[in-house]
Amino acid sequence: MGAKKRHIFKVLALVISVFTSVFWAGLSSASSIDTKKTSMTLSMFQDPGRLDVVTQAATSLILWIPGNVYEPLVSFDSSDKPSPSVAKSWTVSPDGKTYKFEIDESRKFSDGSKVTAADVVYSLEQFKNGPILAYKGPFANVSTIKATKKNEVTIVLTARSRGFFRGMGTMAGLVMPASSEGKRNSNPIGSGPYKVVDYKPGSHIQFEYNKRSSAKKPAITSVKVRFITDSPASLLALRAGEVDGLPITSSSIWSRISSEGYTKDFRKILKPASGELHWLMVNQKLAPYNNPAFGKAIAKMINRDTYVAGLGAPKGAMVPQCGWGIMTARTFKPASKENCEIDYNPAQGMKEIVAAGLGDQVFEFVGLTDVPSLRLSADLITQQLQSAGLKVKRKDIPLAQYSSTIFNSRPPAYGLSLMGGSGTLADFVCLDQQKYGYQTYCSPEYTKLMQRADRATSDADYFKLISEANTLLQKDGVVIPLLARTGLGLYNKKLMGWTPPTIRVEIRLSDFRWEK
Amino acid sequence: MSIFLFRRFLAFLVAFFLTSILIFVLVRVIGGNPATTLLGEYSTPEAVREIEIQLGLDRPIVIQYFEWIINLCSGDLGTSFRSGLEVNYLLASAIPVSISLSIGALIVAVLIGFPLGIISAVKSYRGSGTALDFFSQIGVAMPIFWSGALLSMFFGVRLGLLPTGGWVGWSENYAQSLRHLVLPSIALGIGIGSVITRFVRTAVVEVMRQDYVRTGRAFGMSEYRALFSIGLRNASLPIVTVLGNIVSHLVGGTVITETLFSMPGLSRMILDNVISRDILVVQNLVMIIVVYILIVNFIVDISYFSLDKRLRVK
Repeated sequence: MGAKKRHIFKVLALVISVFTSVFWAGLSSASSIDTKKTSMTLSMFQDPGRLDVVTQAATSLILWIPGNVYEPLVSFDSSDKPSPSVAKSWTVSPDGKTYKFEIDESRKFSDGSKVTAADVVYSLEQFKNGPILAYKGPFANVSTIKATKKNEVTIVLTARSRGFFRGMGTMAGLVMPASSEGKRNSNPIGSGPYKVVDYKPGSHIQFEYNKRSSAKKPAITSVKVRFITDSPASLLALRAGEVDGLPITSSSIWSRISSEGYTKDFRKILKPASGELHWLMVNQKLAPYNNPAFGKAIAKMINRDTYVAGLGAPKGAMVPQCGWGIMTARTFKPASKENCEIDYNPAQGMKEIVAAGLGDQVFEFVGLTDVPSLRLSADLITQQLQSAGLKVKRKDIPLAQYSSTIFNSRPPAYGLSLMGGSGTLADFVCLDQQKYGYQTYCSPEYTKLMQRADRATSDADYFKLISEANTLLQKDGVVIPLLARTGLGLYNKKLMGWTPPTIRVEIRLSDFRWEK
Repeated sequence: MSIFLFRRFLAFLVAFFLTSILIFVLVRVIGGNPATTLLGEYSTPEAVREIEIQLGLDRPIVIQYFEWIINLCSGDLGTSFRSGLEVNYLLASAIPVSISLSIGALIVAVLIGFPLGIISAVKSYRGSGTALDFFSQIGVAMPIFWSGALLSMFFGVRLGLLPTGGWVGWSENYAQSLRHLVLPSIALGIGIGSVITRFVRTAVVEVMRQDYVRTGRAFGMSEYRALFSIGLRNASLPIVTVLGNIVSHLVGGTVITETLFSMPGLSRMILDNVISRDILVVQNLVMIIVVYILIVNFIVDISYFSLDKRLRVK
């Protein structure tokens, strides 16, 4: 009897302890959120100038508007798994050429109007026919976009395309009302969790919770994004408590961030290595740079580890890379003997230059005068090429001049240049030599591999073909990846909730919360 | 007087048209196609061409110039390529910021420059005068970005008394606007104040050596009384010229100050738009600054005319 009683007592004690711990865990997690603090101020080093996502592709815009003001047709998580968003369901025909999206009619835009199939058609047409080449990509195989019912959109493709469906979860799939035409520069309207209530060029964007959104009410309902163009000044503002976070820091202040204890006093967020890259671009259409030996030899002269170390970034903020990440960080691999198609061997590289009859040639290397984060990078590359014995003449020009001249002249200007940005493998697809005459690289083999990857029916096939394209890109030595800049953010230690982007590089404000 | 004014106004008009041509040409020479800049580097050539037509960049350059100058004179400053917003709207929000900063910096500069310049001149052969002279030289040599960063670190971060940057409109919160103005005004005003100190010192030392001051002192006037009642009016001529130049050159200082303190003013707007090659905004803003400088010089000329009786006799 005593043993039975003891047994009952033990079971009772266990039940009580489990209940108590669950209760306390729930209570502590609930009480750890500071519900009284519902606002935050973040800093950004660039003013987008205008807020229209259809005609403006600046990172300073993509960070704030897409993930907060708009919603895409379909959502994708970090492992590329689709889930309903503006479309509550969808069907695909067996041949993969016809998509039917059922629009969630309960969703409303911040101006109070209902989201309709006509709005979805309008939005997709905007991106399809818009001026930004990267947003047109998912529509490459689209023949028609029609509202077939009040709440149904049917999209017909000329060929199966993985890029199309994945694209509906990115910028190209954002949904906006047709009535927003002409007003988006200062007043974007979407169905996302926030709306823009004030945009003062050169000063700030003010977001407030969009009460009409069907998303759960965020813990932080009021967000101010201040434009602090001087990077050291943004660090001072963070230290003074005037801003609560710097979601993106310029690499020109990374050494200060490390040496002045910012990584200790603030929460450091390293974004996944998915988008921001540095790479060398060899112009395949301009002599003598178009000599196939040149690019391959250059690739042998660059030591990526030395390059990354020379930039002095905080640990993990820059990763040497010789392949390309594909939209998300899933396939990203840092440079290694296994994945680098061309090994570091400067002496061999120089021998190949001499053998190709280019030993006495002076090569122009173009850097940028007004992008501080790339100036040191260009210095490091120049040094490495000169140490290998290459005759390099450095030319520094402003970014705007570079952007406008490289793609407008035929053949494109500048033989060897350093690039930095959110490049993806899809950017080097070149369907038509004439139409894409402004591209510095145009390879039919590469384009074919990328097209086959787009039509692949299984993930395994897709990744195999992408990886082949990646290898070809490296072997051609026209686009030479150097590093993946993971991006470094600093936040107040009590400000939690940063989540990796899924649309492009957006910062989802609705995930943030203050902890007690 | 009227002939003098007429001549100055004629010079004003000539300067206006010559600088307008210079600005129009230079803005186009600095390179960069605004259409490509507007659309980004991955834009299609067709889209670039369409924007060029839309913005009138495909028309002959002479026609573009005359259209611009006619629109400018009629107050139509057009629409920004970059923001799609009217330049008048952008100006309306930026000008109050820059004017506030300029006035704030001038007040600081005058409060520093005049008293210190006079004290330094009166005590020029004593230790305190030499010390003031030394500090004014440091003030002139001190870059704004350095003094501004130090002020932000001390008053903003260390003491937490004043904001390190940003701006609140006068209509939103008067007290907050004032708080946001203090550090930038001091940062910009220190350098200008030091320049004024040196000019006031030189002018006053020169005047104090004149016979009429010596005569005044011989009649029993104190050094300061002789200076304030006789000397300063005569010392004011070169100071007015210097003040005119300083007001004109404030624009250069405000570029750094507005960037350093994240103020959405006119100078920072010019800088942002130069970088993004928004040529319409740049040429309009630079023209506005040219007109401002021409008006300041015009006022300086009139002040000179009223202060110096010899000019009126001529």
